[in-house]
Amino acid sequence: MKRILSFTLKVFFFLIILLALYYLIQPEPFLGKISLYNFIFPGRERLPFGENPRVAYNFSLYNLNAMFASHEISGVQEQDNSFRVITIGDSSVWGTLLKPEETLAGQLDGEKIKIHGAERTLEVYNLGYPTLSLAKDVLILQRGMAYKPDLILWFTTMESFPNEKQIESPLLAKNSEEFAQLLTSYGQIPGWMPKSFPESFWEKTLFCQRRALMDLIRLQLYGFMWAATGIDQDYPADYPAAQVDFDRDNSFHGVDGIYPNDQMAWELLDVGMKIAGNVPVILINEPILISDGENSDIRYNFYYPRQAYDVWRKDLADRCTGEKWKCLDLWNLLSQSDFTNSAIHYNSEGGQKVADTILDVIPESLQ
Amino acid sequence: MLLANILLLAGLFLLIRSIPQQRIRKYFLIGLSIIFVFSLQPTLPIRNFDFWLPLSTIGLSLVCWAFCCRSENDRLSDHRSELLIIFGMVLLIALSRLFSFEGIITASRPPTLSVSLPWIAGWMILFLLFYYFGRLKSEKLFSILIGFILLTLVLLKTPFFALQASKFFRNLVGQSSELALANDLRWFGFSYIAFRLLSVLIDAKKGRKWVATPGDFLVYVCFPATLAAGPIDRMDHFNKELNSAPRDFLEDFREGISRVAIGLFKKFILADSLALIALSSQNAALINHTGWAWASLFAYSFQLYFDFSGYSDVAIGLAHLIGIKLPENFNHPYLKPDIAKFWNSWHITLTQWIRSYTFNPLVRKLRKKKDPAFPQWFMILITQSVTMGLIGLWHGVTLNFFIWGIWNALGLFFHQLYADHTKNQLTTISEGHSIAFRVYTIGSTLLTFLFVSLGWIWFVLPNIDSATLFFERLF
Repeated sequence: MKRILSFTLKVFFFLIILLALYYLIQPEPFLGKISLYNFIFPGRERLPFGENPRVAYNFSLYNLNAMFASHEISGVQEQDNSFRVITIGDSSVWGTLLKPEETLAGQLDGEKIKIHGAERTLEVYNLGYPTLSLAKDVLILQRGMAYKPDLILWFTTMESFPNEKQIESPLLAKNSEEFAQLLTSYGQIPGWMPKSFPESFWEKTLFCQRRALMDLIRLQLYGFMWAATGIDQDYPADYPAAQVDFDRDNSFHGVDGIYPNDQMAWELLDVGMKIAGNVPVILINEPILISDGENSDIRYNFYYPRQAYDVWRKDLADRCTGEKWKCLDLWNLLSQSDFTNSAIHYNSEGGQKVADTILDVIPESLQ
Repeated sequence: MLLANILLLAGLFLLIRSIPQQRIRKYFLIGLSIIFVFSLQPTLPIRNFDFWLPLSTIGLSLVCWAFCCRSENDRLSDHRSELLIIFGMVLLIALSRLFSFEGIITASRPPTLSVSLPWIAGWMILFLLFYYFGRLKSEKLFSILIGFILLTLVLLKTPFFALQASKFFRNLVGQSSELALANDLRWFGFSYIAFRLLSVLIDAKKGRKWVATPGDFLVYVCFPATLAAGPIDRMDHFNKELNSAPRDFLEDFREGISRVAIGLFKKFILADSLALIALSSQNAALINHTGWAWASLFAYSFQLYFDFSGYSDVAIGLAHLIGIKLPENFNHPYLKPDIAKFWNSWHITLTQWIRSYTFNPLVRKLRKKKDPAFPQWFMILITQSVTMGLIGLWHGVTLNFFIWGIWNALGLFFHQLYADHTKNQLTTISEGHSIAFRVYTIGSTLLTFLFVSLGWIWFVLPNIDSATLFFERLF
């Protein structure tokens, strides 16, 4: 019995030392940088995201280091005549229901354009992430700047603007400290930003972080299946088409009529432009489904009542003019048949139309 | 078994081990075995079947005991305490319907007492009938019992029959048969329970005299640690362990805990991680690179090994905690230099079982004839094919499992021919050229692993089309 007790005590002390070291070092963010992607497995063509890992060989995790380390952008070498472009935005940019080569980045990648008289090959990286939030765009843009882009294509839509949408997503919630620091460094602390509290003792323990650590291992394991199959999302054989018939509802996020400007995070556009610095940005109002179904005289689609959207679109255009931002308004570029399961998700053909339009605009935007 | 079940069982075994009187210890073990038969049974879509099937496990075990495992002159009253515990526990579990215990002891709420009590009474009557008529040791009764167990096994393992049975039982309990699925009748641990019961019945039929108390017999058949994945122990060995004087607790504790820890690591860390990348029916058609296809196949080989041997380690470790030494089930099978040695090291207790009850009798039968109709090599081929084919079908009565069995049988057959042919040369090499022999051993080990891994394609993929498609991807 004495020997059992002594053995148990030794194990207990060893565990305590291990847990204390973990608590003090907090290695999770650093561990995210260790990756088999771009070494053993090819880098992913879009950031990890997925709700059905067994089928998608992909899943959502919130360690930005790990997310970027698994992306192909982390493994690229600079080439002489390439022109590096990053695309920022929501699920329409990430490419819900699209194969990597069908996404906007996939369609633009490898295209040749003339810039200042010289032919350059576009090297386009998909940094979209399926969350509608300017805050998320800004956070990813900040990370993306480390890869020295020559051009930033920033896709956005009205649904990304409401203050309440900014930090509700898990990605932002888990990286709220980094986001708060980012805003502070650019002198912008908006009123909607909740006060950030330091992590509690419990949150810093190995026990609390076990899931996040396991996610790092799972991300590496799914790299195997990504390499073997080239699949990184669940492609259902059938899905419900985007809604085209609506109730007679003129409200946007519970507000009837025009959505108040002070309820929208316009200031994050400024932050994004400051982050980009001298790197040119094309701010693109992404295509939306314009329905011709029931009550379409009131609503464009599931997200937007006509009145609120039209006012927001005009405000965006005014800001672009006022701030001298390069903007591209593609809101009505696509027809109803170009959309898949949502008012902002377009199919491969729709993506091609968007890509063609952007290709026409890029050279003049860089003058 | 879930991690929680394993840890709970470890704790309960340690508690039972701490009881000083062996008799009382055994009573608790009997009770625990009965509870785990019910609690490990998963929920089934057919009403009340997650109660009937565990009840049938207990009933069938008692019937088999009554028929062939009691001494000639014992009386029912000699086993009063154990029988009271057994029937008392079953009754208590049935009565747990009156409390909110579902999900703890039984997967769903037990049936109403007006339904469950007649069933329990039915098994009791059957038990008494076999107890009294068991004295006759009738050949017919042996055949009926063996036939019933074998038929049930075939029924559950054959997708077509299982589907028909599900439809039948759904109609019987007033549920729609349109929703029937082949896996509606998942009888937890029955593959292992059946083999334990069959070994006892077959040996008794041959005249072997088994003597055990009903409690000992029930613990042998339903020992909670071995219900999920074996090993399949022999009754004489298990009973000897169960009734032997307790060994040094510290030694058992250390051995038990370390085996459980190793098993948990193999199962929940290695196997479950490898499962994400291993070949499966879902990903077989999606893998489009030869190199990754090979890697996924090897990942499956290791996943299967770590999963299965991990469970065996857990079972052996848990048994150690209560003072029982179970037989080993795996002995580094992938490090064996030929297929025969591989099969002596993979799922050892199942292989031994099949060898004892199929291979050996068949060999004896074929060799008995003074003037055999077939040449020696053909007899080897037949016996290997029957044995390995049966091992395949034990996993499920499907064509792919059968092909997997035959694949291994052919491997064993050709290895036998090769070994006979090269015996002298290999002896010379092993004696004089140690480096050459080492290189040969490494090469043959890799070749054996490759052959076994390729065989797993038939095992893991559900039909011939998907298996052949994957073979094409590999080559």
